[in-house]
Amino acid sequence: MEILRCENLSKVYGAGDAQVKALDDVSFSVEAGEFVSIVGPSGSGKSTLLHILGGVDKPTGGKVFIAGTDIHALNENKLAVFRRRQIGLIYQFYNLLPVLNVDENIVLPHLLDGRKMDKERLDMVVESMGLAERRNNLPGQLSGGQQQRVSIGRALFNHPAIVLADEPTGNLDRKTGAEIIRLLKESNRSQKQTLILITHDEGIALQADRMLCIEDGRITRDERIRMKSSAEGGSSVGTGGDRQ
Amino acid sequence: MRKNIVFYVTKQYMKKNRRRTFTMFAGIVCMVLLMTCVFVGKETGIGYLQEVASLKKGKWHVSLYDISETQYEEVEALPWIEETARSKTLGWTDFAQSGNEGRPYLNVKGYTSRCFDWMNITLLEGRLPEKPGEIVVSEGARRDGAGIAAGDVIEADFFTRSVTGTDAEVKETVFPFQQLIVHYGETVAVPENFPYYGETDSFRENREYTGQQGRYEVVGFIEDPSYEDTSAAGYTALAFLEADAFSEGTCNLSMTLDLEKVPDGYFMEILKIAAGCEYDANDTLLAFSGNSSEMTLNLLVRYMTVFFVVLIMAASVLLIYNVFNMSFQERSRYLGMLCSVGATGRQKKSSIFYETFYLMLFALPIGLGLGIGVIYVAMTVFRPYIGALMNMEEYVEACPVTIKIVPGSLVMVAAFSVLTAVISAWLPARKIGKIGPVECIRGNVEKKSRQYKMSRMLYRAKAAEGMLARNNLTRRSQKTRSVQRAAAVFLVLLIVTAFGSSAVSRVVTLKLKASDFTMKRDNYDYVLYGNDDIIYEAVKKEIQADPGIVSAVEWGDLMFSGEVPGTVYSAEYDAARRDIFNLYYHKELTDEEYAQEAPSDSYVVNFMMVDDETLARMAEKTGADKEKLLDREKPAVLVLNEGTISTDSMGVWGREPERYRYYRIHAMTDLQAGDEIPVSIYSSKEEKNQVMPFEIAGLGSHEELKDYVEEVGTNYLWLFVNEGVYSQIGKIINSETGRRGMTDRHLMIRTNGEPNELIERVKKLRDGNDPGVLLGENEIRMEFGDAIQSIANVLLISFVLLTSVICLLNLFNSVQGWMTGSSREFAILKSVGMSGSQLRKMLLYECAGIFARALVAAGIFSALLIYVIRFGFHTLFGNIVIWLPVGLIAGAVVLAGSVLVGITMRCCAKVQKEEILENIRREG
Repeated sequence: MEILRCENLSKVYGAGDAQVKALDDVSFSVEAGEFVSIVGPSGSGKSTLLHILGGVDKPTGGKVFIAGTDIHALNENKLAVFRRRQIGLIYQFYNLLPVLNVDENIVLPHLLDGRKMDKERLDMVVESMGLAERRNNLPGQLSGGQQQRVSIGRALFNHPAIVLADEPTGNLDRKTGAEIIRLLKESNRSQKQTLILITHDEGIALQADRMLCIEDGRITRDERIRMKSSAEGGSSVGTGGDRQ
Repeated sequence: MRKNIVFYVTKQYMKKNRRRTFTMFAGIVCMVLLMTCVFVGKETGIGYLQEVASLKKGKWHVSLYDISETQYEEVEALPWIEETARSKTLGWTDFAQSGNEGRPYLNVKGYTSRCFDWMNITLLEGRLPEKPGEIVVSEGARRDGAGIAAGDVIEADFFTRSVTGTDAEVKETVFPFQQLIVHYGETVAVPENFPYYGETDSFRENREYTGQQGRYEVVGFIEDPSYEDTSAAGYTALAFLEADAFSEGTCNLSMTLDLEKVPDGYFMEILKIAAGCEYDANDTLLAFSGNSSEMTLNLLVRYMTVFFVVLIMAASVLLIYNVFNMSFQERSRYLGMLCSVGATGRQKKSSIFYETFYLMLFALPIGLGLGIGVIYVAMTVFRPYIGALMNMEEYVEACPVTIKIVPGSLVMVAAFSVLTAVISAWLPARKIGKIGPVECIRGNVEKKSRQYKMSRMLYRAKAAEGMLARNNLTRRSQKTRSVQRAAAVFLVLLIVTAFGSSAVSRVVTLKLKASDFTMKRDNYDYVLYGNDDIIYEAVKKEIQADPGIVSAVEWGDLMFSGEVPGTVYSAEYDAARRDIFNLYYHKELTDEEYAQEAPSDSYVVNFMMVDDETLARMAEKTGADKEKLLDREKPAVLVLNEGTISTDSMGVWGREPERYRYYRIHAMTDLQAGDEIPVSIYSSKEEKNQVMPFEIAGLGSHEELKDYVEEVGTNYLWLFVNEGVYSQIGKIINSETGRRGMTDRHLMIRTNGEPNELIERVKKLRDGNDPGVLLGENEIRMEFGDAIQSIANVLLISFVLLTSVICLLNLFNSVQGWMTGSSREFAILKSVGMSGSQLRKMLLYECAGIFARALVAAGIFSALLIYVIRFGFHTLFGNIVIWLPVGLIAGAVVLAGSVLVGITMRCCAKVQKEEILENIRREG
């Protein structure tokens, strides 16, 4: 089942001679439960694409459908509601609210939706993120890895249609980064959580079901990744499939 | 190479943060502007009022008439006499050319050249006398048809005038306007304004030649001098006199006082030297010069100056401090970088001072210029009102506005501005000088390690917005502290100013209206006063019958008309009275001394008659026995049981009090309802006192009677009676002449608002001579005191408004800083799905929290300041009741809250328009 589809997305910054095309006629779709990695050099348009998919940035042209909704056709308020319910965003620099503790940060989208507190779900998410000992701490009192786990917890809490992660390990050491990816993959596998992840790390990118390569605002490759061994030990992977 | 890299970097950051720099610059400009308004405005305003006042009577402060050479020398030797000008009354001489039979003389005075300047002599034609033998004549003579022209010669043979009573049947001849009484066979010297009556049956005018003669050439004509009375027997003529011409006889002396040095009892000191001489004080000029026999305007000006300067300094210090504080993080970062490459704490501090004084360098001249502009505009706008308030329109029109800039004022402006800047920069400079480079660069100067639990209850009650707002306020309060401080300052400013203004206004009222008792007349349009009983009664009847008159009731008052035993007055009153006498005698009087100097066997009482309807309402308000009070036969009274006495309202002849002191008397009498007051009333017919007992039907406080009585500034008891009882008193008092004498009745008239023919007819009666009735429009008549008070109030309001600008700027800047500082968090919230309305709601909660905290802080500080102000006023003046202006304070709270919410919502709307992504990427 198709959960995301974007059609002819373009994003242009500036005007005249100073005009920069960050995205140029990008179209692709993602199936529900799919894990897609996006790779590409710096300035290629990866983050711009992700932010447009997440509804925090607007495209110059084109459309984005998430669970059948043209998100950029929604007004500001409806888009906000859509974001809190259907999209989970994970940033490189965590973007947690410094005045909220771990619990409050995780549960924030749920609270903004005015829903009754789901303590069971919160306990489960906190537990699964390994944050049980730090629930009452503010972000400033946590390590980078812990902050990113809070950020993942926040993104997953509402069972969004799609989780978008923008270089979630970019600010972390290798070991912590691997742990973060494990958590994301875990949610993807166990809960069939659709996941789109931007990374510079080829190793991480190859752990996805599918890899999109972006260069100069265009998708240059769209490949399915074939798993060769179990997820337990060191896995070897290969790519194959569509090429755009 | 840069000479000072710290200053250079500071300057670069000032350029980078233009908005912040501009806010601080605007704040400093505002401060200098306000300081200029205080110091230069004070000089200009007072100078202008002095100028106007001197146009009215002259530039002198005190004049003495007919003093001897020795007296002159003694007065001139007084250390606080600034300048003197002498003149001489040469006397009366026949004026053959006069065209007015009632004015057959010239009243000739000899003036020195300074006198011509000081007395505002305005030349209309020719020139002023420059040498002996030259004279100018009042234009009034030519206006009355005198055949005189420049170049004519006047032969003068001077004489003095007196009158002798010649009618044996007339006991005494009274000249009320000259305050002169001549008995049969008595010869009395007449004053300058005494008219020419010729030969009459009851008195005769005499002239006594002084032997002095002169020949004067008329060299010009002058406007009638302000002291010339048009009903006087002669026209003024001024001859030139040289200084040595005073060696013989007496002279008149006008002088100006050194107002910085002049002691409180200066007038008595002058009169001690010039005993028995006539004197005059230029009260209006003295009042504006900060010294007067009637009031102490300089005290008011001094209080207001201190009040304003403190206010401006406080507001400015907080604005500048807030700007520094808000940018603390950024500053600490670049100063930390400098510190890491070797900048010392002193160099870091100097960065803050550099920024302040760099801005001050430009703000000082701009603020001064703008301040002078504001003063000029304000003076030009207020000028007509000043004239109207002081009843000096004609003088104000003739006196253009000139800005008076004295070096002292400029020095004060600069000194106070620099002082304010130093105070405001000192604390942030000290703070920034202390922190190390690593803390600076990391920006973790204030890191907490506390843990916080999630409050589910709060979430249930106030949803996510409430929880977020609470967490923002409690977990990172430093972010909103500047807003809180700015709101608190705004509140404190408004509350304290409201109270301070009310206190200053109250003191001015008490100082200026020390012994006023006024009934409220708001419900009436006109008052009919009667001089002649018969005419008054006839007009009253017509008015009462007129269909255009809605209400016409009769009131009356009898002042000082009765005496009561000292025991009627309360112990509280007697204690206050005794304190006042102690102040006048500059010592604690013993019982014997007090009994001797201030006998308290009997005291005066006053009566006030109002119509039955009003009296009944007053009885209801006070709980008095209405039946007794309205009984027209059996005398009963309603006692206004509150009063005031002060060193202004109670005096001891020839003595000056140690200092001003005011006493509010809460119970003028210790008697109770049902007790009797025996009042002795003097009957001029029987020429003895007659005792009339009055039963107390009730007692009322000013609060209870506030709808009827304007002020309680009265030394003595006021007793309210009905018309019947009033008539009984009147019958005792009135003499056989049938005239009303002291029993003053007046008719309070309310019309239906339509033009009324009868009212117009009665109005016209006042144009005739000695009218039997006078109809006064019940408009608010401004007296001198009212005018001063109004000016003080206008100044207070203007300054509060101007200072509010600084506070608003501060609040605006703080809110903007808060919003800018939170924009990344807002973007994060929006990225996880917070809608615009949720953001607004969260901010409203935050505003409520900030405002509640500001309110508590402002409440504490305001209470403290109000206590200090109240204590100061009580120490200085006495137990003055200064009402807390609750309405104003409530208004101030609402205003401050609305401003905070308004600015926040405006900034929020702006933030909402910004791109989420852009703000998320902003460095935290």
